[in-house]
Amino acid sequence: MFPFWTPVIAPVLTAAGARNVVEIGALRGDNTRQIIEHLGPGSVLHVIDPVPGFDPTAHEREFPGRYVFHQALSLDVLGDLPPMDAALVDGDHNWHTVYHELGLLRQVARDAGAPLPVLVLHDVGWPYGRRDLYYDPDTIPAEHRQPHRRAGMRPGRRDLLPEGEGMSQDLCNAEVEGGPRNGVRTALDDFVAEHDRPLRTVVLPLYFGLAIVVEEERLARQPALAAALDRVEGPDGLRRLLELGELLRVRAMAHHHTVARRARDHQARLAARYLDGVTRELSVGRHASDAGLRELRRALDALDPTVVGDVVVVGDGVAAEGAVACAHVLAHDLDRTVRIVEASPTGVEPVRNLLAELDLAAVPVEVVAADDALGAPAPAGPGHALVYVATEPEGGLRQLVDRLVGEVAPDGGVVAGAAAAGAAPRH
Amino acid sequence: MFPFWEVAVAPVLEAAEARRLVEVGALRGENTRLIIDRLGPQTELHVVDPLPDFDPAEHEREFAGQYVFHRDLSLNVLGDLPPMDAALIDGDHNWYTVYNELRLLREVARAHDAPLPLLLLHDVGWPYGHRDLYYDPSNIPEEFRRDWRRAGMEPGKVRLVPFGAGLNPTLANAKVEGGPRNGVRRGLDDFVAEHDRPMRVVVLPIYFGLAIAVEQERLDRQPALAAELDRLESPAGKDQLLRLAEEIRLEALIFQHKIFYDRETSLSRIARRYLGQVKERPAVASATRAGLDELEAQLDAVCRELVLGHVVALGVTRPGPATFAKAYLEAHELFGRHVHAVAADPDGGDLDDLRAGLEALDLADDRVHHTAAEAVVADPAGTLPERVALVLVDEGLADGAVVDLVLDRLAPSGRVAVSAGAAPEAVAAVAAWADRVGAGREDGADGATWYVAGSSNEAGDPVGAGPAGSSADHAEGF
Repeated sequence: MFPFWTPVIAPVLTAAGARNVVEIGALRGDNTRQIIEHLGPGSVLHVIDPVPGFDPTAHEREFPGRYVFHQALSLDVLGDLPPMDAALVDGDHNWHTVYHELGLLRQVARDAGAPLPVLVLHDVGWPYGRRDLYYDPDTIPAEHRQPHRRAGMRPGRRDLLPEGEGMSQDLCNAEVEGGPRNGVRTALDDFVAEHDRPLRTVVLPLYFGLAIVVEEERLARQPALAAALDRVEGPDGLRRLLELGELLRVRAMAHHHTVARRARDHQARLAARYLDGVTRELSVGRHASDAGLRELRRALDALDPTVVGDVVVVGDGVAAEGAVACAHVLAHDLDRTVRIVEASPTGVEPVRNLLAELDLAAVPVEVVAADDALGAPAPAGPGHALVYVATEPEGGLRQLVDRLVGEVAPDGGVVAGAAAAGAAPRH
Repeated sequence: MFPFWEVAVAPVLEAAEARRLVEVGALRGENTRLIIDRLGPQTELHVVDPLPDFDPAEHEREFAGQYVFHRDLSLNVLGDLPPMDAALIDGDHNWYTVYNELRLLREVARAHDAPLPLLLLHDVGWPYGHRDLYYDPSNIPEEFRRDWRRAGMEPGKVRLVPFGAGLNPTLANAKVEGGPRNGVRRGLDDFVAEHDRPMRVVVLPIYFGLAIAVEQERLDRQPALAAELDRLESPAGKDQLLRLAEEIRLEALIFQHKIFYDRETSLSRIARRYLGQVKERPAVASATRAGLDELEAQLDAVCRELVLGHVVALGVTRPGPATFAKAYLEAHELFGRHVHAVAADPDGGDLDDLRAGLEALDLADDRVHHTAAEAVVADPAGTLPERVALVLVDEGLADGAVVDLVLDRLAPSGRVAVSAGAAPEAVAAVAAWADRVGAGREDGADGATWYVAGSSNEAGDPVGAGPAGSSADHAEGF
């Protein structure tokens, strides 16, 4: 809930005069220093996290007596803490945990004759507002555990998605969204409904949703706090939230572009290493000349990925060239078919054997003899993205090459290889 | 500006009783049908786009008599059109274009004694609100063209970011954000400032920002339009926008997750293939296939469990495993993890085979370190990495003190492999360590023994940074 700190949480804590604050779930501990410095001297911040992504001892040294770290589950800790002025709840995002966290916070307050702390809850919106997540399902009693699975989610879909789709595929998400005792928001609603004193609840529907819950009694006693909530919900507050939501969106977008670009570059480098290995193996095995294969690789690398169409390798004895084309398609994860056309029917079998040997059978590939290719009607579809003529085409092969060149994709398809000079593309 | 249709664009156009409209920049033409369906049969829609991403002839046929397509730059077209009731501006996102589009719209209106059209402009927020983009820089007169470069942008950074990072790295973006005559919002602001009649401008700060600008006179004449703008600026309207913004954000997030996971799957598949090739190369022939398969699985586990640290190879008379480990780090681009080879006499021939093997596989670089055992004992902190994830104990190193120094640095859940031929002193040092920390022990291929340190041994630090490209990169901050 870090992004909410400056525009929402900090002013609310100030107005509430919060001194004792508990933070449940601290992620990477990003806002710990900010919180402690904001609360000021004499305040105490308790942080509860069973698997902190940071080193809590550093904070303990830096803020002696003002920072108490509890490496445990919240439900094992909250009951033993002193009463709190405010609680930031962002731990395990499921009904059981949140409902009982709120219950313990209230119990401790009642036992000490203190008011209910100001409650700030993250993730009351999609995806975990109405759907349980279990960081570790074993920590949740069976009777409160929804059927769950590691599978992704999408807004508007109650069920989980098939493998490889949607958000947070690697987390234990409840199978179904909605219904009783399911999700953070439901836990809050149940708590609020049972609470015996009137509460004001403010829900901000951005960045997975934030809720602020305060007893009306406290608001009557602390008009500054009521005013702070009014400001959050007023036109200026909402405008700031709109701007915050947009900033988070574009920041994530820029980050995604950077990550995607890095991964694309990584794949290109890795593919080059793999293809170097394939080329070496083929030239060492005397299937083809190293120079010829390098020329084919250059042509494949230069091919514009947005040009739709297949890759055709044609010639007399082109098993190695065909294999390189297949390895290229595989290494770059391209959506292209490879068509390997052998001058003579006896050449077809060696091609198939080599592809099997190099474990390239998974690539969509078609191996045919030139005569069969000539006899068949022109393939439907966008045409050829690349026609690579591996050997000087003679006789019947010449006719086929001319036809293939005529079928080159009109938008950016290319002809390369031995006969490229003699054959001009249609466009 | 498509996502704004229901919440803002449609109600505002309806309230303005717009009959003749111009749309500058139509992308895939999504708005066309929406506009004509919503505003009815008297609607006359002009669409201006030099490079439409759709076939305008289809729309011309379907909406005959209502639809006019202009395949040209807006500034070549707008001056010749009839006066408009409304203009939707989403073309070339730079000051010169936008400012002059607005100026031409006004000139045409004045020449016909018509009111200024209702103006709707997209991209008044980040990134192009205060930074020019040129789809084709040669279209913009030089004196209005900012210095530009094909490089990406990040929010909060005035300058472009290098190395293909950031948003839209392939587009011609102004090098600097802000300042005069820069960006769409600036174009609008300058136009409004010069305009000789009072205007109301409403900016919706989501999805790159939408501005609605209208003359006050028109609002007085069309109270329904004024009411729509009031609604958009009210708490209820803002709440609606917040919900829309969150919807858009989540949709993008899911799209980004899909791309990320698909790429990860693809990368790990190719890495496996490349490593399969490496296992067949003479450079690693001192290890068996089974031994290398096992090493790959242990390295996978180190990454999966986010075990921090480097690889240390002790002895290295058989360079196969250390060479393969380097190939693994290279394939997965774990550039933060290095290979440290420690031998009794690293410059006197002990590591020659390792060097030759790395060379043959094109893996020799400054992420491999060759160190003498003596130097390690003399200056452990200066020679060993601070944290070690995996240790390979081979024959040829009989100094138990070196083993102890390396194991002291082993990360929680770190792995140790002791080869069958390891010196007794090294074997004893590892066994003593394993007893002390209660490490798990397993027999491996080729008579090797594998140890796994406890998840919180005396090194005791919590898990931190994951390997490059782990899903930690994509943590969403629930």
